[in-house]
Amino acid sequence: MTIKHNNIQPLEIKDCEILHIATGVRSQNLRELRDVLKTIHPDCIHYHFWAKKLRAEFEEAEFNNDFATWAFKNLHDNKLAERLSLINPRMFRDVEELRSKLIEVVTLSIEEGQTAQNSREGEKFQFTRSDTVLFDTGHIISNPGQLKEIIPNLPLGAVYYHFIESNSGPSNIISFVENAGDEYSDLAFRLSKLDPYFFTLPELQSRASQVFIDFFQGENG
Amino acid sequence: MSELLETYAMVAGKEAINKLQQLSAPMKGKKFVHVNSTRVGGGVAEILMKMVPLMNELGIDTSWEVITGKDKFYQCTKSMHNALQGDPIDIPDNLYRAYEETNAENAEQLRPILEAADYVIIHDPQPAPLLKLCPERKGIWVWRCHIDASNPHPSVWNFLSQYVKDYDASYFSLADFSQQLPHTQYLIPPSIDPLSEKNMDISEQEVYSIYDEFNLDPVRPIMLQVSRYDRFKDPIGVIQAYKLVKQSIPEIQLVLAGGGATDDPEGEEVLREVKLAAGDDADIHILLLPADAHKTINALQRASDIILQKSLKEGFGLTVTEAMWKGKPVIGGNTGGIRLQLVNDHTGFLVDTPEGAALRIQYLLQNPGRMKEIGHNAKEYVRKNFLNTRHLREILSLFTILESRS
Repeated sequence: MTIKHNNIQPLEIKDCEILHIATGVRSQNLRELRDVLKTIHPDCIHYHFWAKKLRAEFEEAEFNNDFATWAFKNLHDNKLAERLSLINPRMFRDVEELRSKLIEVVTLSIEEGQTAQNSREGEKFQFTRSDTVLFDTGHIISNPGQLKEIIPNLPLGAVYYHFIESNSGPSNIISFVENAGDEYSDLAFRLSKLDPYFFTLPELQSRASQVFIDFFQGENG
Repeated sequence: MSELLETYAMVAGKEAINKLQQLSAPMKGKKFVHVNSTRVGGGVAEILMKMVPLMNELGIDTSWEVITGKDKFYQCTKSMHNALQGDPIDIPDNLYRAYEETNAENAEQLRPILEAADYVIIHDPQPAPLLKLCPERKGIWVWRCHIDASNPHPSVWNFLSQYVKDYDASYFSLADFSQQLPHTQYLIPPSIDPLSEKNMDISEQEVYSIYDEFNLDPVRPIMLQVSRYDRFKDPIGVIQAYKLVKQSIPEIQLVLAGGGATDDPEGEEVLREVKLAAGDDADIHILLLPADAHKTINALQRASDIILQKSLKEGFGLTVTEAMWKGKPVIGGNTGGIRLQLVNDHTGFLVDTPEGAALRIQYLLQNPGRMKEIGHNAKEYVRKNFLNTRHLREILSLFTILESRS
């Protein structure tokens, strides 16, 4: 058994906003989509899997990424939309692996030949990426117990930043809890079981809050 | 926090104002200049009218400059506008020359202000050459395209892009409008000001006064389109939709409320076509409103049951945002920025034809519950996405990012 030492650094809670950036690169059909996917900047792929979490939309909840939504809404290919939606970016080591999977799924659909049509003018897939701007919230956390009170009231931009955008870096809440010492390893484990890909930000916030409540109640009880 | 910022906080939330304060803190006392080609009429002027005071309130030394020109200049820029929206217009060389000469004349006046500025936004094609005409500029220059340039006429875009390509960045309302340019192209939709005369809450009495003023029957349903008399706004298509609805709902009334912009020479011609299409139908009310009739438009939007914006091309469609903010169901053309605002069947309806508009109008008038629900969704959607506090936050974020990289 290895003993993990407490090497906790205070966590400054940041709110974030993303600024959307048009690349000017578009696809009208699956062949064009596949061609662009081979070379497009990796930030675009990240964007189309995650940025929709920050957009207030009324879209179909079952389609978790922009590729799947486009296949469903603009190519009217439900089968492809389902396959694309199942691609969970957290299951891949890096964005290049994720890119390969996307290309594989799109190629399969092209070979099956069921989606021959182009999307309408004005409904092409628009490859987009983003810049992130961080804002101070005034919260600096020195132990995971403080998060129990703070998480339910965080702006959604902060939930996005500390659970998704920060990935596994030092600003990530799960990394912070992991580094807070052995007594919090169960809490870190329970948080790591929450997969943000399947939640809206309000759902993720609510589920994470519950994990903190359950953990600290258990500790006190 | 100042009284003005407190008031914005009440509508948009304290968090929104806090972010604006964080972004503006390093810009305090710095010089920010907006340039466009009209001080009244049209969406750009309306945005700047409210955004400039808000920026000054945040401590950024902000001014708004307007370039002026003669007939040939406006003929050129109107043609350019139409060509960027897809009309296959080839602009004659003499008009291009008038465009360049007008910019050169304006540059003589504006050069000291622009070259000294820390941040500059040039709005739309009219003043785009100013960057090249200010060689000693020290600040960050960004070009803002408000137009639906998704399918521009190539020769006109080629001409314009020689002036646009050297900007530090540009921004568009939608990804579909972006072009191949050698700098970063951000996506920032425009916005409305919830505290402006056009959008603030007004008394029931003020709303009711509209019925008398324009001879409208308050008991019968009213459909309204507010927009300049411009073919891209499809006022004739609105009249066609009205006539289709009239067959099954004879009590329907239509109001077309428009005005002119000083940089739009085609308005009068289109107005004549609209009057011809309306004929002698007493339930079609064609209004020509002055550019400052903001409260009248506010009251008209609140007095109406359904709002239309049946544009064939639309950069964004602030009249859609305004109507949504008033909790009204909007039926809009399936184009440009209207698509960003109207999520079909949730915050409004998108249509491609007068028939589609007529169908949705009849559906809504038969379903008052849905009208209310869609109106409620629409208002909240605007609160989250299309108020000027969000808009300014994104503009300041853009300059913060560009400054950090320069």
